[in-house]
Amino acid sequence: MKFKTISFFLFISFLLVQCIKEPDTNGTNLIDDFDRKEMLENLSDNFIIPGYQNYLNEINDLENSVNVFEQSPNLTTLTQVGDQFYLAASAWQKISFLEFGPAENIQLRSQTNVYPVDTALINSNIDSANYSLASIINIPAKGWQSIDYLLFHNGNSNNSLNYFNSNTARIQYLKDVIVDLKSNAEYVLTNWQNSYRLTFIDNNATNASGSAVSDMTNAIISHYEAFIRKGKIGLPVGVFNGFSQAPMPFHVEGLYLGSKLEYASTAMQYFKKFINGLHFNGNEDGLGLLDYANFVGAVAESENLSTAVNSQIDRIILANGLCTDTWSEFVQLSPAVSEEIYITYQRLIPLLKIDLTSALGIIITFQDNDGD
Amino acid sequence: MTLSAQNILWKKVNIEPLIWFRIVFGLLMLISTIRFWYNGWIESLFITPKFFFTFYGFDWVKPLDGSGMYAVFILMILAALFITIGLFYRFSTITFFVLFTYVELIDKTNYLNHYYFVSLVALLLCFLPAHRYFSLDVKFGLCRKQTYIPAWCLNIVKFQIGCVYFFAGVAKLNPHWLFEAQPLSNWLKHQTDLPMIGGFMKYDATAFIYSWLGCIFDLSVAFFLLFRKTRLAAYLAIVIFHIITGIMFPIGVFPLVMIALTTVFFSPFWFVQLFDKLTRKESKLLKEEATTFNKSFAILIWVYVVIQLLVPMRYLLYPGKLFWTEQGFRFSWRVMLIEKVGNTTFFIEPENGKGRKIVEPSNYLTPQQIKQMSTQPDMILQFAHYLRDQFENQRFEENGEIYEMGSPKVFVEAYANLFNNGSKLLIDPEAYLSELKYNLSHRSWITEYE
Repeated sequence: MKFKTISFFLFISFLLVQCIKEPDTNGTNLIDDFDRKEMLENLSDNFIIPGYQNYLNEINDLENSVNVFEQSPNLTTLTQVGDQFYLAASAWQKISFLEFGPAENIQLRSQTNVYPVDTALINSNIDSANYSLASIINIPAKGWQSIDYLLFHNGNSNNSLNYFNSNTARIQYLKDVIVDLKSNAEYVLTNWQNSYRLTFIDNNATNASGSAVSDMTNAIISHYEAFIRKGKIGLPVGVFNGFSQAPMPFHVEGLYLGSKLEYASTAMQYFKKFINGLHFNGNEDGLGLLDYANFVGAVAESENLSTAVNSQIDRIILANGLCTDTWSEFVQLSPAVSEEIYITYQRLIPLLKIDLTSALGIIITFQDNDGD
Repeated sequence: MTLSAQNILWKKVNIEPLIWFRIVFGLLMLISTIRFWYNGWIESLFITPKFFFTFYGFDWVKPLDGSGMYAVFILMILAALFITIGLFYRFSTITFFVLFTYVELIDKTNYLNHYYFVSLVALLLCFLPAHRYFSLDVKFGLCRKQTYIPAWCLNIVKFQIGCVYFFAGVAKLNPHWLFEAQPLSNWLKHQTDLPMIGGFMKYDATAFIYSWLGCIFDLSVAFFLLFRKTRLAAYLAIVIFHIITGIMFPIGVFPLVMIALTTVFFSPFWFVQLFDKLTRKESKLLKEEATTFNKSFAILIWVYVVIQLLVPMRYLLYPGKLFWTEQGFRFSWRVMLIEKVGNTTFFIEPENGKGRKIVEPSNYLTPQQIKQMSTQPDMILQFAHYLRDQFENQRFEENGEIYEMGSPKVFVEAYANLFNNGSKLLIDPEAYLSELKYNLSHRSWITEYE
């Protein structure tokens, strides 16, 4: 009797343990199997690494154009610097949301794109010629937005040319900022190419906190929430500006170039590519987070969650087109339309932060607990 | 002897199972309290937060400042140790019960059914003579040795453990669990890299098998533990069940707690032998006879039992969908039952209606508190009241404009997603939470689910 009971339970337990512990034979034995490893490989090899590579290339091109300008400072070479700056700053947008792994280690985002910049600090640095851009106090005096200031705050090219010609310390500062951006970009790219790629891909056993899927999803969603929705849009519009909710026109990105919302659009286009698993170069499709959401059958209202997310991103990019002046002027001139743009961004929040994380079973928890 | 109320309470039985229970409970509490400290939770749960979500009626419970919370845990560790070795037993059990319950009452963010269970068991131990044998109290002559106890002392513990399983099973008798295999089907989908039983078992079927087995297990296991013929099978099922859930979900020490404590159902014979070996003496199994009957104590026991049976069912008093409103959700042994994710944005408006400010909970709450609050309407209301009190009669100046708060209005945009059916508004966004009362009546400001 006892023997029978015990063997019965051992058999059942064997079956149940089988359920959870059977080793992965490559994941093709089930039709509806989702291969997390394949997704992580696709994202690393086809988006993240080529994205950082492209970013570094653009920085190198910018460095070269500045060197050319330094050799022969004239309007043509200065214009080339400006054009290349825009390309490089846009290349940053395309990978800006990947603040996990190596990028998180060195806080790439803070090192690279803090705004508004501290123009007084930039000027005093230039005057003293005694500064270390690696120092934390210089974070608001470096990065893409400091170059935006150096190149464009004089209003027109002639003034800018004079600005640099009259004081070579300014060109030196520009070069130092670029060197700083470049060394950070190199650090991140090299780490991905060398060891982190494998660390990332192999961390695929679960979606629990600390896994690659969880870290990555938390990172991109919190980037969207804090640095795109709030940083690029909400702050300038004034949504977060106390009780008055008055616009904050100096909080825009690309303030001196007179950016519309091109940076935001670029960031959203590539954010969309990334979560869909598209390749960085071209439009070849691989596994991404939204494919994962489709696999678990995630829905939002009456449609697939992936469809809902993609259409909302399309609406966002469309809404960016409503900004017909520079973003800095537009938030002051058309507060109602500006707020409409913000609301379009805000609508993506529940889809990402609630529906997507829920579908992926990612517990947005930053501390372990006893659970129950 | 027959199964009668008289026998269940007053039959004379061996004390050894209760002694075993005391030692195991003491050790488990010792381990888990030290683990709690070791994991840094004293700091992150009781010292870091600026605001605490108190339980209704327990607003007066506050964490201690400075090293006070550490002192509480030192005392708890000592009390657990003393319970284990049976020293100053009454004092130790009361200390442990009071401190443990105090800690659990500080913030409902940390509510776990298993903590509630520990509190109840600690309360019961205060009344049980679990130190009358194999204890330092007896050795030092602090109390009289006793080799028998009235049956209620064991049965109340078994009843309490039985409640946990049985009501966990009752809670699973809902269409989501039974007919959609929710939330398990969702959770299991992320375990496909460790595939389900080969090619022949369809994926959804696995979730259904788990759901139904889990439900049947919870409903029946306590009864099977009671009878000698089924006891071994039931206990093996318990071990397997808790090991599996322990592997699959991050549920800390509780699989171990349940595996260890359910041993109290074993035959007294087993424990008598064990303690005979430990004490190198020979005691005998008691013949069936009755102890003295104590009427007022009997009433107390039955009152406790009835309360335990009614509290988990109190949700029936509320209209609306339990999983959405969560009214009557806690203290009901609803474990691993729902998958719910939410997000909240609060707004505060001066009394005179001039201006409006977005309040991000992250400025006030820890990530864990935000996570718990964002799906639980009562916590959303409590936080809204906290904001109201923070801003009340404040005066702000922004670019030369003055904003007089007076009695500010607080409202919330709260979205929640239950069982992955897409996020929906959880709270009426027009409701002035600042003016609503926090009480136990039906909350009409929670949106209707579908």
